[in-house]
Amino acid sequence: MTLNKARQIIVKPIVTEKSTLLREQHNKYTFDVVPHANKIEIAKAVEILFTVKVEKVSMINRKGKIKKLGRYQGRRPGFKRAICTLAEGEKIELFEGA
Amino acid sequence: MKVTVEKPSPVKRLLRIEENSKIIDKEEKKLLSHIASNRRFPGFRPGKIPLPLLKKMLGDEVSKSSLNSVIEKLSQQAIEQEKLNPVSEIEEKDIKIEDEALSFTISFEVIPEFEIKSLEDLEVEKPHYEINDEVIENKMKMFQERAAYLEKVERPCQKGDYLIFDMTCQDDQGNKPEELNFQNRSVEITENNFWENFIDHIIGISPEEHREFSFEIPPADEKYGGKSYNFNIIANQVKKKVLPELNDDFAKDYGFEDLEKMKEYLTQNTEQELNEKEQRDFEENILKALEDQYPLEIPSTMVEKELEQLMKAFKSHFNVNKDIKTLKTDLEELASRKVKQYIILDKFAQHHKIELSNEEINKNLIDAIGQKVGYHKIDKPTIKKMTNDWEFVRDVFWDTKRRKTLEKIKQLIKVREVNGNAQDR
Repeated sequence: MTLNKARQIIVKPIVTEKSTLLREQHNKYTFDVVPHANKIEIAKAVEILFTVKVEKVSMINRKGKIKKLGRYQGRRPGFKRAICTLAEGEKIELFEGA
Repeated sequence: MKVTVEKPSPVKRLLRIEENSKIIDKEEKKLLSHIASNRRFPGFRPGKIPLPLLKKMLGDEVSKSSLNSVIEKLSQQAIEQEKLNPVSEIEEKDIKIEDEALSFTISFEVIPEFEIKSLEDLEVEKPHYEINDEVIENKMKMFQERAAYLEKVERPCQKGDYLIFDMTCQDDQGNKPEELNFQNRSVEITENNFWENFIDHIIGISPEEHREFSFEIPPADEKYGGKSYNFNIIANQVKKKVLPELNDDFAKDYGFEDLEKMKEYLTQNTEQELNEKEQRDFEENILKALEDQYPLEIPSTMVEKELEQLMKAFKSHFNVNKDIKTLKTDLEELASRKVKQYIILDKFAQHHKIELSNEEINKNLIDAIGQKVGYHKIDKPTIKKMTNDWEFVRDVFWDTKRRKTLEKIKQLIKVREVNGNAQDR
């Protein structure tokens, strides 16, 4: 996988209270990814972008809520989120505080 | 905390402060916790964002403000420790963090240190103004002038008369300046009301007389000066100023029983004015003597502040047309004198433990409010409004203390009475 392809797969890192806890307690890092990405691609992308060893990838695929306005109906954008468990001793500097 | 004090001049202080730099980290943590618990960040409940992450998000600003906060706190502590009283802004410089030690220098101005000398040998002149007939006569003349009326006369115009005339004025090209062409204007015939030598062409003109002459306006006139004009003057009326006779009727017009009563009132009034002038001049002499007794260097910041206040007061009380630079130069000396007087009198009050009682402050505050808004307008809301004005209260407080201190000084000095001239006023 090329660096460009990896950048296309990983949309953005997620920094929230929950993801911070996961990172601190279980060495798990959370990213938003493109909807068509699979676990193997995500693991490779994270390894290439951050030069770390990924042990496991869990996925959340949330569909957008249906919203109605009169007789019209639409859907909000959903997201695909990946929780990557890194090998012991590995860490991503981007998430660390100063 | 280690503090070293330097005195580059009698009014300047330089404090070198050293402290362990861990104090900055503590302050930074405190600041970050405060931000974390008081602001919302997306993805985190209030107060739950990790501090290192918050520090990364906020960047250098946190470090800078915690350093500033530490410097401010340490400066205050050092000033209190050294028992100093800054009268200017505090300037920080040479901020260094080396080997876990924070060091910096602060500089500011203070009131110079000096000892109060004994006043027993200080001799001050107290002027005494004697009231005389001439002063009262002048006052009567002033009243006479105010009551003067104009009477039409059938004779040529003289100096001091009022001439009602039409005037046309044009230059050789036929241009007529609007201001110099008018009808039926009444003007007192004195040198001050006309250009130099112009009055010579008017004196002697009789009612209904018509005069034509050419006149070169002196260059002193900014608008028309240096140019020759043809003037055409028609005198409509000549009036002379008539002063009313000084008799009982005249006194009655001013609300007195007779002329004697009027003179009596004026004498009393003048006596009171002269007494006040005596006191004012005496106090001025005392202050001058004190200024000479203490050749002090005074803090420039205090002079600047005083100058600013004086300029503000001058501009609001008098319609000053002078430009700011000229006004500033004129008032600079007065400002430095006032600051020096303040320093000396304040030190004197401290030395002699002159304190103001609540009654004195309240009485003077009410007096000052009355003078400012009018005694009939004094009510609770006005008092509340005025006493909330910190600058007003401070001025009244200082004025009261100043007067009390001067009274004490008057008791201690040697007074030499001298006769002054009441006409000087």
